Amino acid sequence: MLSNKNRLLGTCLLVLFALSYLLPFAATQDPVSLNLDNRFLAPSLDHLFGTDDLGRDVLSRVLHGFSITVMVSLAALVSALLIGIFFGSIAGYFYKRWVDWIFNWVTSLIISIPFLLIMASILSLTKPNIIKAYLILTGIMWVNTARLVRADVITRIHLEYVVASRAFGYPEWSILIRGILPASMASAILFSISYLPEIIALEAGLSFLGLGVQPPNPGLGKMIFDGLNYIYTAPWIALFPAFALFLLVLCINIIQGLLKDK
Amino acid sequence: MHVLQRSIYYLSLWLGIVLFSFILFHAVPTDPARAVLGPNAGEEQVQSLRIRMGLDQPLPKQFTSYLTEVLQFNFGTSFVDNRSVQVEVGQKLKVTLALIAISLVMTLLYVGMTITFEAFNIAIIGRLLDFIWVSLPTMFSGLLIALLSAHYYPFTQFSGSLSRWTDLLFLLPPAFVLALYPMAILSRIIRDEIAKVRHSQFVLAARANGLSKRDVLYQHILRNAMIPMLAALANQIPMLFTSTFIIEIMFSIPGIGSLLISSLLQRDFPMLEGIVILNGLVVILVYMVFELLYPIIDPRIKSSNAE
Amino acid sequence: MSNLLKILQKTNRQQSVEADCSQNLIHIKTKYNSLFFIVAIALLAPLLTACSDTKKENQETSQFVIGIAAEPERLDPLTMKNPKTFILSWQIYEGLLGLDDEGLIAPRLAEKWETEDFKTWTFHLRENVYFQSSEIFDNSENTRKMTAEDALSTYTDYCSADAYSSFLLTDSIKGCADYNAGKADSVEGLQVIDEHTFQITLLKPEPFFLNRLTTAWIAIFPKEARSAAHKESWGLQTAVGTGPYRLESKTDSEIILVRNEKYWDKSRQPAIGKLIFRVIKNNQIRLAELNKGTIDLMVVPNTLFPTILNQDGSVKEEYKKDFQTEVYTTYNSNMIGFNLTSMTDVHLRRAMNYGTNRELIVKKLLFGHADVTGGTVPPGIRGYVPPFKEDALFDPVLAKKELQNSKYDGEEIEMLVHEVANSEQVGEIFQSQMKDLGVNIKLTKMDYNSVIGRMIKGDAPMFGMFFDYVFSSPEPILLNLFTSAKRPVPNFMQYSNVKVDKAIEDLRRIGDSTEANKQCAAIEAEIMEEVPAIFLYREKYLTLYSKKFSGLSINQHGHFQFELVKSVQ
Repeated sequence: MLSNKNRLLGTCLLVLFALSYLLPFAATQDPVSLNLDNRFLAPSLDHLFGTDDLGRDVLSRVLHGFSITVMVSLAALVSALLIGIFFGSIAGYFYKRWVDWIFNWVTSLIISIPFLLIMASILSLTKPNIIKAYLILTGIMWVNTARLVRADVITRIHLEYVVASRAFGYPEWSILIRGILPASMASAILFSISYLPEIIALEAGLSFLGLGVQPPNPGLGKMIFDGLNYIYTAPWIALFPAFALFLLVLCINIIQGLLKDK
Repeated sequence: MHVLQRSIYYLSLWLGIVLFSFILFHAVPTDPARAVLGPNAGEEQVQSLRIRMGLDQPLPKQFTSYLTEVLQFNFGTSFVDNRSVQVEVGQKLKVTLALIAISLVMTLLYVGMTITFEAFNIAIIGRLLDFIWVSLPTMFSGLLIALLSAHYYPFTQFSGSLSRWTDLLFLLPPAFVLALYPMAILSRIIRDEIAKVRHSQFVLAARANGLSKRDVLYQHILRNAMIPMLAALANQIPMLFTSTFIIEIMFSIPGIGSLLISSLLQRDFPMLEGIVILNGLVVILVYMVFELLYPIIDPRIKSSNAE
Repeated sequence: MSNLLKILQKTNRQQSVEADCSQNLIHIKTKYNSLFFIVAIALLAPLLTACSDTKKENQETSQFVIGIAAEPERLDPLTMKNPKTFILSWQIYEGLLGLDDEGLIAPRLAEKWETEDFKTWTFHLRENVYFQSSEIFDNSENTRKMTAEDALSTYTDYCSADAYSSFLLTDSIKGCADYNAGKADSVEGLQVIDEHTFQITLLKPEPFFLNRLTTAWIAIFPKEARSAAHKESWGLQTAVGTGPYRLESKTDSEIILVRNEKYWDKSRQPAIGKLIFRVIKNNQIRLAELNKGTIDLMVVPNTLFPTILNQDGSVKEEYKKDFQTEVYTTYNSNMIGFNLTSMTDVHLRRAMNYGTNRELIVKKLLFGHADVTGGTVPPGIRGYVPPFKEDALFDPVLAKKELQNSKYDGEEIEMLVHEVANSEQVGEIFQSQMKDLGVNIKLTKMDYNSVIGRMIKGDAPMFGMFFDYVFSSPEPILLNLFTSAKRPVPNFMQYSNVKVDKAIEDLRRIGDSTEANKQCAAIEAEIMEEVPAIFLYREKYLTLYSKKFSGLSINQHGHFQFELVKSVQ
């Protein structure tokens, strides 16, 4: 059912996930234990990325933070994908009927509100944790996937093989799942990967608001925002996590570019 | 007829936003009265403030009174210091919209540059640059530009309002950061589309007829390539609003984003509702504008709409 | 051409003095041909530069630019509650009393006062104090004298439910609580005796009543402010008080105050003609502006300490060269509070108290710019001497012993932190110190208002909190924080001790301040037996300002006395 392209993509994501799970083990120092005598040390052999404002090793924190960020974002992406494909395909299949109309209305609603901040504010009223961040991210990103899938499904519902299947008496759901979905899914999945950087950025924004990673655990976004305060005297605190983020996004874009050309 | 249908759709969308924002801020277990008075005020005073804010009435009643006020464009006064919500949001929205407008101008300029270079085949540098722009997280690029402009850019004092055209100059660095992502996406799209359309039949015909490469590009290819680009632009707008919030924080611009965050932290519900509703209004207007633009650019759509 | 622009820009903002120079320019009409235009500019250019140069000169000697970190609140005395606004608002507004250089009560708008039973206080207000000129006054001079009627209307407004700071007065002044709840239409305990005599009657005797009034928090402002005509713009475009500077303009990014020419205090006439407060949110950029010279003063937030200070707390050479520093304290207190209804094990609390190394936090995190405290009453307030030995507060041996006596079994204890006043960093250091002791702390970060909400609801076993007290003596602090009647607000720790309640009530009978201080110290020692909170430190603030000025004095309430600043020429 899945094309070669998708299989390759899936493998890449799996590798990314595994890598981010394993990366923390490469950290030689405890990312959490602080050492007030070692604040703001510049990068050296002992601390390849220097130390932060509470004396913790930045390299270890980046490795751990990278791991947490990537895992949460990937999880959010996958669930957003699943939910998006589900709703999007239904809406696209029932194009111009009330199901589609409701779908359009709801997604337009979600897009036109600064949803991120509103949701974050509400959820920050209850005890914040990483699960809630994951829920928020999913809740926002499914919309984009859903719209993509819907658009794609719409272009296919008038194709001959669909009409033929209906004429043969196949049930609607079977046509949708076996006939249309595989093709629509492919392009949707591919395009959705480009949202991973956005999800990561949103996760960083969430941790700025206090949702997501709780202190003293590291999170890339949090490290960048906290490090902004010291950018003149200790630029490595913010630059390294930002650079890690940059590399991650770059890799994803490269993967996406390669897969698209195939 | 079609216009009427779409207008009703958009109106219902806006009403949905109003309802949503109301539910979000009134049905939520939080206490704006306490946030306003601070931690030291006695319970009785907090309670009396709650009553004066109308928070003790049943929800449906609160909603109907709120709805009537909104329809008269009276958004009430801020919980924090009794400023008029409308005036505040209006001012800040102007700034944010100016910021977005400038970055759109920059984006279009850049896209224009891409198109010109397509005619000259120096594409490869552009491709590389786009790649990098797309990968730069807003925070990173925003940070760098903020630091650089603090040192070298002379216009660092934003007076908070757009009374003189020199104020717009201050918005250039943040607009640039904001534009980076859309620039990359849009120029990549248009490049791909131009490449696609280049190989189609009618282009071949036009070239065969003797039109130069550049004329073909401008007269024929562009019109077709524009459509997906416009669609992508329409999609970028909401994302632009979200990125604006981060950028406003970094560059300390008094726009809607800063207002939203400070109102959130202070539990200033009328202000938050005002922001959500007015912001939603602006976004919906943008959608409507784009919907109107499509048929003009691509006559094919007009006829399909009529059916 | 740029000179022309500069002039046209300045025209919008300058006062009529400069109009002469720019009048000529505005009347240049574009219908003249371009050649004439160019020639005219070329001829006028020297004149323009001359104009602009003298303007700049005048500005440099008579203006002082302060960089602030956030937009100030609405300048309405009734709704201001953020201490960061006071650097601005206390230039415009004044209260009845102030503090002198030793931190003792000094007269401001009240010249003399007397009381016989500490229950009825009669204030003799100064005559010939005029409000700052403003259009809200309907007469030809745009001003009027301040009288006892104004004191009455101000204090009544402060007792009303509209005032965010009414909690300062509702338990003291007779009838205030009733007025606050809407049960009466005036405050019984406030009376005008004659045009310059104002009387306040309290519910119970309070020898320390005056110490509630030493800031401009309860500022005397004209009753025209609350009239329907001016209510909308009050605090936004208009703000009228009796202070040394009056409001000229206010936008969200710049506030301009100009000298009040009719300021009543002849010994403190402001030398600087204009105060400009510029909002520069980003700390780094503000420092860059200070270095560039576009602002003259900034309060250094402690995230900038690593940039400006050496490890031992002294200012780095390159900053000492160009700037002067002024370190000031306010009556603040930074603590980690316990919710005594959920954290019931006193041995555990004592263990945590002994296990906290405050010295380390102050030295490393704050570069020494704080005083370690064992209790909440700030050291030195009215000469107060705390009963704690600062160097005996940290005792790991005793901590371990108390921990063994406790019933703690290794479970996670939740502590709320927020984004203000280093709460998160202090929380992280505290967590690591507790780990060394053997206590497991889990940090939960929420925003400040959420933490307050939870704290009041009693939902948080431990919370990081700080207080900025506006009182200038220990009694009101103890009253607010530790009496059982004040639970849960503002007795956030839910502390309740009948003995302490009685001792605090007895303070109402001690008229002598030294004796009262001693009693307060005894009460604090008694309170700390139960460790309702781990009090950490009292923060000291650092300001950096240009060497072009001198005379800056900041009193213990954090009141910047800009009227004393002179430029050095």
